[in-house]
Amino acid sequence: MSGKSSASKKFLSIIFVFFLFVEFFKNGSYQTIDVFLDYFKQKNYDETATTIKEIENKYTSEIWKHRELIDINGFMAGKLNMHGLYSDMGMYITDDKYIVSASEYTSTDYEVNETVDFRNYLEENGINLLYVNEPTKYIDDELFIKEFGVETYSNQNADLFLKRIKQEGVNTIDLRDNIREENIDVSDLFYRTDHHWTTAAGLWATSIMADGLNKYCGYNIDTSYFDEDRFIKNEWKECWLGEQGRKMSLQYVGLDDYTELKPNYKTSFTFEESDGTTYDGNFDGFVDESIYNLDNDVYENGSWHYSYNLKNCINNNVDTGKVLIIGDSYAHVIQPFLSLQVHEVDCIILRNYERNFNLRDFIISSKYDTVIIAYAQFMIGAHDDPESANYRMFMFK
Amino acid sequence: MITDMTFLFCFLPIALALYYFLDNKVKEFILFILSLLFYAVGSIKYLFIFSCSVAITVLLGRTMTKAKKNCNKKILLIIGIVLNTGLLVYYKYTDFFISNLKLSFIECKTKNIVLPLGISFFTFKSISYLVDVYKERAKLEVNPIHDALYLSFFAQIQSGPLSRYNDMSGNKNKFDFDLFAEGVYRFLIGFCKKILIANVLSNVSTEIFGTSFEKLSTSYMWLGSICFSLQLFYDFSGYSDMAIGITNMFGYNCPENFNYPYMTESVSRFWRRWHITLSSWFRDYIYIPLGGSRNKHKWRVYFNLFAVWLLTGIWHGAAWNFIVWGMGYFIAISVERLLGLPQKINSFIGKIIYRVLTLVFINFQWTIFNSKDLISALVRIKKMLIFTSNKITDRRTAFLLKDYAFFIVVAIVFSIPVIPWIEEKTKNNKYMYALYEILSSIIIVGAFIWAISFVVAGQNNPFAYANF
Repeated sequence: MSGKSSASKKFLSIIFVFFLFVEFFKNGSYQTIDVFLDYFKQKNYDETATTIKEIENKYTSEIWKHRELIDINGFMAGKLNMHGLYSDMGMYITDDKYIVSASEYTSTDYEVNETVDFRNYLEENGINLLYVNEPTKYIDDELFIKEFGVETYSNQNADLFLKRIKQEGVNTIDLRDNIREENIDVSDLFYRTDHHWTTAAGLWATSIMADGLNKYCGYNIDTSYFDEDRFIKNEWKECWLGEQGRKMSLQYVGLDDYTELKPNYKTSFTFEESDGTTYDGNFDGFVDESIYNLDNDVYENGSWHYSYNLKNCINNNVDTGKVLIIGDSYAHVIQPFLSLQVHEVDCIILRNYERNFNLRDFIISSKYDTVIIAYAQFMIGAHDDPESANYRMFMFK
Repeated sequence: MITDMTFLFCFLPIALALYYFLDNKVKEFILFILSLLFYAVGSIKYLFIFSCSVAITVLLGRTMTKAKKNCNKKILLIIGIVLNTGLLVYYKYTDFFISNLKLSFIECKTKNIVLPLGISFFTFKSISYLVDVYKERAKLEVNPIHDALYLSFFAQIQSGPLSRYNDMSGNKNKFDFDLFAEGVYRFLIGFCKKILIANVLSNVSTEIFGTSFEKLSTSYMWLGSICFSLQLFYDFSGYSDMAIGITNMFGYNCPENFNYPYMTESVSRFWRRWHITLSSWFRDYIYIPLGGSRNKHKWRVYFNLFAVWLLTGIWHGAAWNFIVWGMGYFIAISVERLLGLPQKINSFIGKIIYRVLTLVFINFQWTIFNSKDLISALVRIKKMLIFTSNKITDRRTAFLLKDYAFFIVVAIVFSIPVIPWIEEKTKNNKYMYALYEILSSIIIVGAFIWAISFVVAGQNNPFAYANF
């Protein structure tokens, strides 16, 4: 077996050994030895114990040149024009480098029952309910079949759910209807590399929701305050990488654009922190502009979508209205804008609350006159999977 | 797992440094300890049983060499075989027996036993060690640690190759740069085969084999089965290359396990190219002891073949589809033997057609192999044979073909001996050969880095043969 090996193989072996030891020292592998020793010292190896898989995942995620390696992977996937290489992470990519995800079928029974029961409770207590369906990155499930040959039920689930709650008399707004009526290209409402919608889309949706508050909940909001020309625009081209894009790599999907919108009229708010302390400010108080730093690493930097914060607040310039938004992360660019024309707008995301949180008591004690449920439509069906982060989004008890 | 980053950048550098910088006397002992650590990482629950099993097997082997009476040796051999086979039967087949008893309406609960790492491979190596010592074929080294290392060596414990005691030779007192360089080359090739081809193609085959029956179309199922055939080859031969490579890096030799199996001329010859060490194990320890082909009674030869293929099926997995899979090979090989195929085919076209038919048969066999159970295997084969269309999955087939075209083409190209062909064509021209060497080295380094990027991006699957 031990014949004469070629010079190139010998050279290759020297490079390999050098590479192994460089990685060994650069990764601080000597510290990993301690991690393994701790693993062996564990008394039990049940569900609570650290697993080898966890050790491996941590080591791999901190490997030297991790980001460059992710970029190499994405670069090659891009060069090979692959659209489904990361489908195991739930992501597909179109020719326009627009990342989309599929949804499983759901009966919608759970969501319908919970929503109707919640509406009945609110009605008994004289509180309005408005359900707002926020679209995902495509409004026709056929897109998935055409582009990837994959079945998705995102829009079919939403259609079924909305139809059923409408039949039960729940006030609903389906933003997909507005997209169709206004002939908007849905991809213009979303970031390519992130599952969230843009700030401009949030403002557009807020205007429609305000219209819904007027129509269904007895409000009298002047929706012209949400016109884009009433806002100052700050635009950045190719400046940030969304959450999905970070997994698929910068080399594969490229950077996203971003637009910040702030009202060009005077605003005055009293913000309330989670510990109950209050302070005064204007609309700028919603926006953390430190995120907009082009010098920051696009992988390390915070998501630009989250530069708009959910803050419980009182608008000192408006006298009426107390609204609770039961929302998701899309609400980061709804609540600040809706607060411009409603006296008090609070927002909660149910998945962030403990199981013992009593939503109904909270609503009654806080004296809201209106509750808006504003959910991205992929929340419908999340309850089918107990492991889902969004499992509790429709638990309105 | 030997494709894990902790193995590559933590375990392997430490192992190499200790092995090459420590005194020759302790080298094998260190390697044995490292092998136990490797086993503990993969299967800590069974470390004690594994260690005891290694110790008892070595003890029996060594005692056998000292036994003067043949009957004593035989008793020790039987004890060793029964103990090792007993462990394998208990851990691998208890739940299979219980679930079949359940089908017979006898009330009992399955134990959900987790398989100890590499138990099938370890058991077979132990048996070969004991038999070779008994038959005095094994030239035992002075230090019994060598025997323990042979049984437990981390490079081979998970999925082989099923090397024999004498295979694990080598001069541990002298650094063999040629062997080391050869080992690194094999390791790099194996790593790229596993990560870049097997893992990527498993995206396709896993999806298709996980699709519900009513959605399966003929084109979709064929794509899935072909991708699985390629995936399994690159997965297992990739692992074998890595195992051989690591063994070489530590100065030992290791037998080959694959020889372009999809270039086979017939079903019988396929098994001389695929998992060669398993085929030769069955030949040497089952088929020949049963009488092999040299038997007065023809029926006895077929019975021997039946026994070998039944055991081969059972060895691969405790499920009926593996038994049917093994029987499929028994029937095909028996038919070839009876009809004298493919030797009786004289025309070139006929030989080509026979090769294609052989590959189609092997492809069906892998479909049975990769199915959850016998029923799902039959449904999938029916879908492949009787044309079924499905608008969505047909579209999906086209998408997957387009998306994975590069990997499928590369997998097909390298499953035929293009590299030996290029080496043959260039070896007489110094400049061409140098160019080939430089280019191939650059490609291997690039492919290795690309493969690491896949692992870092979360695309690393267990070895398909890890559960056998």
